[in-house]
Amino acid sequence: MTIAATFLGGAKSRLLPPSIPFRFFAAAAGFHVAMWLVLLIGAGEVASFRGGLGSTLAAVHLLALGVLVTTAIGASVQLLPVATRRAIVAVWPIKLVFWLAVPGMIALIAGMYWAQPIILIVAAAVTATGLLLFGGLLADNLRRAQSIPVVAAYGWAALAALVLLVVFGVLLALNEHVNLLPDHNAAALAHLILGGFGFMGLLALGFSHILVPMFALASAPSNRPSIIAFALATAAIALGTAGALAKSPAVLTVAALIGLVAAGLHVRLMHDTLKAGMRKRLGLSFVLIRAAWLILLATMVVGLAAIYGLAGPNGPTLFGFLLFAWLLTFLLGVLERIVPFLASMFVSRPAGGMPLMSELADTRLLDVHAACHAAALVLLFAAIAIGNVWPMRIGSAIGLVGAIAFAWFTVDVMRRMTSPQQ
Amino acid sequence: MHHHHDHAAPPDGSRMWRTADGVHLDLRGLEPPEPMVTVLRAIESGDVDTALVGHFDREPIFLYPELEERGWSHELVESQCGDCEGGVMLRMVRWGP
Repeated sequence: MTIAATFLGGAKSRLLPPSIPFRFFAAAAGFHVAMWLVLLIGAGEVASFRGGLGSTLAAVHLLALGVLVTTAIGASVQLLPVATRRAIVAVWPIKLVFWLAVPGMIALIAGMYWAQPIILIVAAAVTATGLLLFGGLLADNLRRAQSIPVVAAYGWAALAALVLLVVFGVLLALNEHVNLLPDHNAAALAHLILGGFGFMGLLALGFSHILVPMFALASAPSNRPSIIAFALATAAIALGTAGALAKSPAVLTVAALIGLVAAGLHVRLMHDTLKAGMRKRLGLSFVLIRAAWLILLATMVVGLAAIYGLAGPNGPTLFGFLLFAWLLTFLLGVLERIVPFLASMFVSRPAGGMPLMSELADTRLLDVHAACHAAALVLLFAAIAIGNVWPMRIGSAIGLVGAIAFAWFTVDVMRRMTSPQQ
Repeated sequence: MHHHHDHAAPPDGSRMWRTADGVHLDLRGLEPPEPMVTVLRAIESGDVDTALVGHFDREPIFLYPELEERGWSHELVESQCGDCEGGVMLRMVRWGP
């Protein structure tokens, strides 16, 4: 047995079959394209969006559920068993999560787009079942994650946010048919905070404590400041949710201020980690990740200003836009690194050893994507800030080109991974 | 630095020792990604010339592409060395520049 074969035999025991993580990544890449397309079609409604069924809500959920949550599931089912040393016992629950959540999301988003409450409610129930099953798998992994206390703390808080987020999501869907909620908009804001900052935000911050030092080849930030940042972030999300439900500007203000301090501390810890890292040339993915950190800080500032009407007439929309821009930009930066890395783990060459990651990915597609992504975000920001549809149309079209480039990159990596020449 | 001819860690608790196989590094109990970073620091600092044996709690899969890029091959060894029970042992050998 060659060294490579011995190694692959060992590594494969802790890795899922490649079709498992990659089906989530491929679905996310497809949702990403669909999101920009729906934004382009419904460009006229975006700037003044304040909730309600239609194309903008569909686009928001294509991003939140389709891109962000789907990627988070694919990455965490693959990375957590590796980090927690838990052998993979069964693959079928993860497949079941996929087959509940992804078709559920498609139907849910269709129900939003065409304003069909019955489809919306049934699809919400199916999606919720898939997400709660994923929550169970996540909990099972987190129970064994004593060796990574900071990541585990973020993981548990994200899981709590996921459960509440799903509850609010189902209630909001039901409320489109029967009047259940005393205030639909207040519940929708709580749902947004629990999803954007709670589930996705906490997962992003938590996984950063492993991924950023790993990419930069640095030690992880020390536990004490990390736990302080975690406590502040969690407190901000709890207060933000309460403030949204109580419609209290004072509570929302305190939440935004605590959130700003938490975000600042997190960014500071990550910046110091990069500075101490052995790898200085971090490439395009870290241009996206650093930009995402700046957008995170801007989200908190604009959110604070929007509470007092100081962020312009479309301040609330601008806040929501920045929240999703930070998450999407961060996640794409991470995916750029993880997708070719995971692919390289599944490939063995006749000569032995592993292929270099550069052999598995066409980096020109990533350049196209990053340039389009940046231009699209700037144009969308301008469109919402000045309330003009044209930058929204042009930005969405450019974003669509970028998303196609990213989807092409993902498919290309999968093709090279499975091609017999490798 | 110790000169053992088995894989056991030295009794004084130091995390680096030398046997006929090469330099051994005990990376157990370290929070990820510290084990990987320690191996790469050892390789890049020049403390290790051609062979390194790492004792890990878990298989360091994220280390593999980094080793490959630096011209090191790796081989997972079944850990039946008594002292590294429950963990894994990785033999790393320099083949490239």
